[in-house]
Amino acid sequence: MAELELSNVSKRYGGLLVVPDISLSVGDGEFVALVGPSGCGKSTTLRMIAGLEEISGGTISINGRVVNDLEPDERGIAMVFQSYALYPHMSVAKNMSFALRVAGRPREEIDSRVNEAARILGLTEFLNRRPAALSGGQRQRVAMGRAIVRRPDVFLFDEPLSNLDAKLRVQMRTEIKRIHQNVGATTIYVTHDQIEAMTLADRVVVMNNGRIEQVGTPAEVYASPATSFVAEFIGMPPMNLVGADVEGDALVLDGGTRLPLPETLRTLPASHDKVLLGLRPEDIAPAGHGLDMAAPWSLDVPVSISEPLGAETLLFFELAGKEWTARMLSPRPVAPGERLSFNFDLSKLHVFDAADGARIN
Amino acid sequence: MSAATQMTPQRETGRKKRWFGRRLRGGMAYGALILVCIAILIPIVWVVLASLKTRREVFLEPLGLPAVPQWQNYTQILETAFPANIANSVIITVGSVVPMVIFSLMAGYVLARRVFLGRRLVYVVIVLTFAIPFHSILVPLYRMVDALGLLNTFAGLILPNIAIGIPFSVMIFYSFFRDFPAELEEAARLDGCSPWRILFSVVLPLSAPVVLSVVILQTVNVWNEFLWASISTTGDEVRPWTTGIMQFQGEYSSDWPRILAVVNVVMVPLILLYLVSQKYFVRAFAGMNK
Repeated sequence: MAELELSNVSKRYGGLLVVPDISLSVGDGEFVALVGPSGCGKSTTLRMIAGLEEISGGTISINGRVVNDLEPDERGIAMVFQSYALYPHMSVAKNMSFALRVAGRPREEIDSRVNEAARILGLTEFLNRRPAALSGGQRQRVAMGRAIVRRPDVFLFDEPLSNLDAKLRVQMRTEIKRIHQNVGATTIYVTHDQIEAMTLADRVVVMNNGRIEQVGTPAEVYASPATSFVAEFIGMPPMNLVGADVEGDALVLDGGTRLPLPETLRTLPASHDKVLLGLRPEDIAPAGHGLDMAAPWSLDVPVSISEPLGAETLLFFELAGKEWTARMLSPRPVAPGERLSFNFDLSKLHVFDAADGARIN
Repeated sequence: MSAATQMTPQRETGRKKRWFGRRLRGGMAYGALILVCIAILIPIVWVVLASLKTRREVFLEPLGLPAVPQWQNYTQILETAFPANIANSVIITVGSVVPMVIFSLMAGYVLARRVFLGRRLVYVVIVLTFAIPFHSILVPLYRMVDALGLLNTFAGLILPNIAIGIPFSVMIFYSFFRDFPAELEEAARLDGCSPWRILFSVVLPLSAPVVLSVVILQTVNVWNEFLWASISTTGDEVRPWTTGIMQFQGEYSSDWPRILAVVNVVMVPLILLYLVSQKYFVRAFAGMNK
């Protein structure tokens, strides 16, 4: 187990700066998820930690030891690839033991470690099979087993569940969580799936354009997104975001709708400053179909689309030139065009600077 | 319901037309393949039959069956220099193909998978050498081999074969390794493998189809090589079968049944090699268009 430290790490491909400057500390045994859209630099960051990509600047330390110039196998890390990267010509046992055999470990130690990992992962009966004779989930477990037998300081996962179907993904997510709880190793997990990040990680690192937008616990990034990007990226359906002006004790949405400025937002900047207002779908609900609200504000609007999900229904409506999403609890059928009185919980408003997207409140 | 009923005959006609189209296309494809097979097999069958005829029969009954199969044509060639020629051909072929495949495989791998200055230039130069006709370098090659004192030696036959075969082999290996999954090599790096170990423990075991394909192609080339052998060998010590076959050809007449018996015998190793490895051969070339 180990601590991992990234200090001002950057990556440049020729003239293209893909990761400008990243600093991150990961504690011993912590599970950290790097999450962000495709091309945000999360996989590049992981590959730099693994030593598969050279870094262009900064330092990477594992347990206080700078590993910038060390080969991947000298860093004390193990990695699970998106494509599993199992050696097709080797059996499960040989795949799992390959690193130990390369390192010249004694036969008894190799057998004991492989058997232990196979037991943890439920692979004992498949040890003599080739990867081609395994299902997707079993291959994923072998990939994890290959990492476990090395007893690394840091586990790296690069979108390990992307190739699995939805059901298996949920199953393997639980499996990964269980293994982390058992093994307790420091883990960096890259994913573009926010649900994976939120459910698995102790802390979530949201990345965008090669930069870290926010680091925090899943609850923190959800409840207090640091930027409008995080607000929109984390949460499904995404947060409703709309431009507005601050005018005295009111917020004037684009299009002229005025909202009263709630008590919690009295410290907003001077009047007439442009801001972005955010409100999560669960903080907007038709009257009688939501949770209790601290500062409700009502508006009658026609519903454009309703999406019944069983326990709740998502309702879409137009306001201030944007399509808004609301969550209807204890749902009833809603026809398109039906006017409903929506309650907006203004105490839950998120306010961001319209220019740079930084959180204001 | 009535609309559906009215549509049924049209759908039925369309389905029949599609079925007929598929059968027609399939039939035409099979027909073309059968014609190609016949075109390839007829000369082989003719050679086998002619090798069992007398010298007179070959000319008087070129398309007929041998009246009495002349098996002694085969036993008699064993009493000539032919067995020694075959042994020489085996030495030349193995001595050429093994190093050629090893060097080409390593070169193709490095050019496809490692980043270094001038990589593209090296590959382009190799491809360009493939485009140079062998005939155009015969004279300088002869003078070079002569200057090295290698005329009429195995080395003098083997080294040019290796040099001539490498560009094509490198191109095939290069194409294969370009598509080789990078994650497998990265996983091997994480597992502590050196570049050599990655090549021999991970890449090579997964490259059997392409290695066997190159082995087959180059074995056929070297086994059948005539031009350079005819120029650079004067004595029987290193003479391969391609030039050794000329012993059955006189100034005024040729012993065609024995020449064809030799042809049949030398075909056997290549046919066996192909039969043993055809699965990989087909797989390698099917995979190259991916």
